[in-house]
Amino acid sequence: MNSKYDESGHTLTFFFTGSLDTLHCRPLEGAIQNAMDAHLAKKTSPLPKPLQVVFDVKDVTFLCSFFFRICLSTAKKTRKGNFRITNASPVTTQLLKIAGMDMFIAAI
Amino acid sequence: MASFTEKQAAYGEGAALTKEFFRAKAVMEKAAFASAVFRQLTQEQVDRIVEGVYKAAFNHRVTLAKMAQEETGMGVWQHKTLQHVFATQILHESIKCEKTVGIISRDDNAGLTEIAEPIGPVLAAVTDINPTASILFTALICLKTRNPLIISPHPRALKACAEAARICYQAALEADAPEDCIQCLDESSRQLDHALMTHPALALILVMGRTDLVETSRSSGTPAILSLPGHVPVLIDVSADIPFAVKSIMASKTFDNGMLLAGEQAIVVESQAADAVIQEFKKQHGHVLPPQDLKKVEARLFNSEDGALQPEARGQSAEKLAIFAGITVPAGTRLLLAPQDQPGKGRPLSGVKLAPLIGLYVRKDLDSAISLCLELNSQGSLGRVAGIYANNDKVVATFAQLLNVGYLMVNTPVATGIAGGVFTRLQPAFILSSSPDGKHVVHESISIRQLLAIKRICRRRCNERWQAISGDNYLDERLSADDVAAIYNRNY
Repeated sequence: MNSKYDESGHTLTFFFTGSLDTLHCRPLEGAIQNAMDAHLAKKTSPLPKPLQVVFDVKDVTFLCSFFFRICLSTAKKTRKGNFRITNASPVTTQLLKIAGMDMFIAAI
Repeated sequence: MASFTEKQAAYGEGAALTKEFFRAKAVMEKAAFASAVFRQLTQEQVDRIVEGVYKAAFNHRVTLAKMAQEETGMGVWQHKTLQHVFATQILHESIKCEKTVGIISRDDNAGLTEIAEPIGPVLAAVTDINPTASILFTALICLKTRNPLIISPHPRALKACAEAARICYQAALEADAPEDCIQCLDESSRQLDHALMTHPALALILVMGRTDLVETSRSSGTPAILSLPGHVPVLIDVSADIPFAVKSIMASKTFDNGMLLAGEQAIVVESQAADAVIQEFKKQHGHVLPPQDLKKVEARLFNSEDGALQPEARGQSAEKLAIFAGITVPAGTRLLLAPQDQPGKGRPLSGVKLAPLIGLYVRKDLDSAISLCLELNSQGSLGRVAGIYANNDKVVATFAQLLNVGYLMVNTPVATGIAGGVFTRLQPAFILSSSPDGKHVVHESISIRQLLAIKRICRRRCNERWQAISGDNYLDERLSADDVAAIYNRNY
């Protein structure tokens, strides 16, 4: 997994690749949390623009339950509407719908 | 019309936000995750999971049988063990080579391709009659079809259900099944069942012997398959081999102390054969209750209000039933036969009895015997099964035509034969669709086929006869149906 901020510094995008099985997802949870904590620690102004988190799942070939849980917990940690999933393939879109997460999929 | 996502978002609107509501939401969330992960598995992965679960469940067949018998206080553990063998080995043999993932059939000539998809999370409301066998069976058919299973246990079998589910789930995980592919609720609550049944993500409800959940499931808006105790009449025709018929009925009705949902409930016999039938039952350790004992049995074993068999009497041996009723029966009695004139309200012995107790009716001829079977068939759940012992095909055909049943068992034990795979070539199944009013979508035994959403790809294959006929023929009202059919079917 890679991550990067956009130019504004308020959107943190995580890029996922390959098979996201339980083994691979376990360390991701901590890494995502650390990145989000680091952003909050950086804030300087009293009312910072809320952090937007994006999961880019373009090259994902398998999703496990753990990944769905990470999505849910990340959505809860960010403010409403600030979590999105992008670049979902048709297969991934179908899986996210079945898992009840299609509200996070960014409009195509 | 609201979309699925909107329905999910609206779930709970207007409902009391009780702990059961949040519990159901959490259970369904896990099931939805499992459903999504399951869809990504291949046939090989699925078959490995099913094999692992079958072996683990089979290896615990005796332990689970003893647990179920001990906790519910009903039935015979040796017979429950055989039910476990049926629900694991016999079932596995019948489904192991079946395709349930992706393309399952392809006919290039007809241009038809069938693709199997899972239907989604399944809720199984399990009875205390055969709780562990029901769980092993539903777990295997759900796993084979990649559907997550949620088990709602019966309050009288919580421990046995939890253990059966644990064994299956652990084996499934060891074979790399998705997390939460099997969930067993740790309590039995009507509110929780209702909250689960009305959840938009639930695909199917299997009500297995739970008459208390019929209305809840039917009003939930989720498709439900009911499998309820039914009134099963068995006709012994004069052409039957009487010793064989009696032996078969004895074995079937006494199996697990008469606890099978599709068990025989009434024997109907023509007067010409009545003496021979009664003598044969006596020979094979059946006891025909005399009139004075019938009253005691009715008064002590049945609820005076609704006429149902008392819970303490369900699944007890014939000798124990006699003790409860305060009557004396010969040592070694295996089945109690209760002679009845007519079925109906106020006659509890003519109703459904999940115990080694069966109604016995004598009719003067075949017509009145069949008429009685029709009447009996409409008591209890309809559309299940009936039996006939006869060596006369005309009698069998008449009987089959008149009775409203899904299956008619001929010269075959009903309770143990209907499950398939042992006495018949029916596909092994533990769930037989039935309902209190005879209304149901599927009129058959439930196995993997009913848990699949089959997509059909239909390629263009034109009907030559349709193309050959001129459309003007249809527009000309002077041409009759026969005229058009002659042109349509012309074979130049």
